Amino acid sequence: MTEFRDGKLLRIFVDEHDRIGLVPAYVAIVEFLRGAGVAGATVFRGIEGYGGSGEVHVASVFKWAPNLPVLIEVVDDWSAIEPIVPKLEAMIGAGLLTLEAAQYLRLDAKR
Amino acid sequence: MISGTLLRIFVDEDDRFAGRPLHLAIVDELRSAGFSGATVLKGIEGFGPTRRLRAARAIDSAAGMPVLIEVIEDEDKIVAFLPKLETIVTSGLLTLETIHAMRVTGQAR
Repeated sequence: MTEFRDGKLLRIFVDEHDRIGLVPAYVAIVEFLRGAGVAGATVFRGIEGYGGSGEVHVASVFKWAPNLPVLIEVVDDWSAIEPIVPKLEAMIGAGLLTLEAAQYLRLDAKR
Repeated sequence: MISGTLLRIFVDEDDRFAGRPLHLAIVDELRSAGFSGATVLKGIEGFGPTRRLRAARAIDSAAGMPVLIEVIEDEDKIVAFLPKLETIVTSGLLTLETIHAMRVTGQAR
C-alpha cells in the first residue's frame, strides 16, 4: 500500500473517425503523449456510444466502418499531466477529457 | 450507498505466468480469493515507460496489446490481495481509486 503514489487518471474520449490534420485523432494524441514524456497510455475502442453530435455510433455487421468511441487513458503524477492538458484541449476539436484521482504503482520499467 | 475501491491492473496480452496468459492467471486468483467479479478489457494500442508503441494498426508491433482487468471490492479486501497480486504481476501498472457508490446485485458467481 505504502508503495502506491498519488497520481491522476486522465481519460480522453474521441471518435475513431475524428482527425487531427491527416491522421486519426487518437493516433495523433498517442504520438503527442509519447513525445510529451508521460509514463504511458492505453487506448480502448468502445463498441457503442453517443455524445456531442447526439448520433449513436454502434458496431454492426452491416456497417463497414462504424465511427466507434475511442478512449485513451494516461496515469501519471499530476506534475506530468497538468502541463499537457491545455495542449490536448488545443489539439482536440471535439471530445471529452476527464481527470480523476488515482493511486498507482508501476511494476518495473520493462514496458 | 457504500463506498468501495476500484483496482485496475494493466498488463500485456502476451505476458505469461506459470505457462499461461497472465490476465487469465489474475482472474483465477481473484476468483480463488473470493472477489465477486472482475472485468477484462482489451486495448487496441498503448505504450509504457520504454515508449515502445504497441498498436493493432502497426503490422510490425501488433503483439503485446494492452489488457486491463478491473475489480471493485471493499478496500480491505483489495489491500489484503495486493501482496499476492504483486507476486504474479512483475511488469505492469496497478491503480487504486475510491468508488463513491457501489451496489452489488445478483448471486455471487
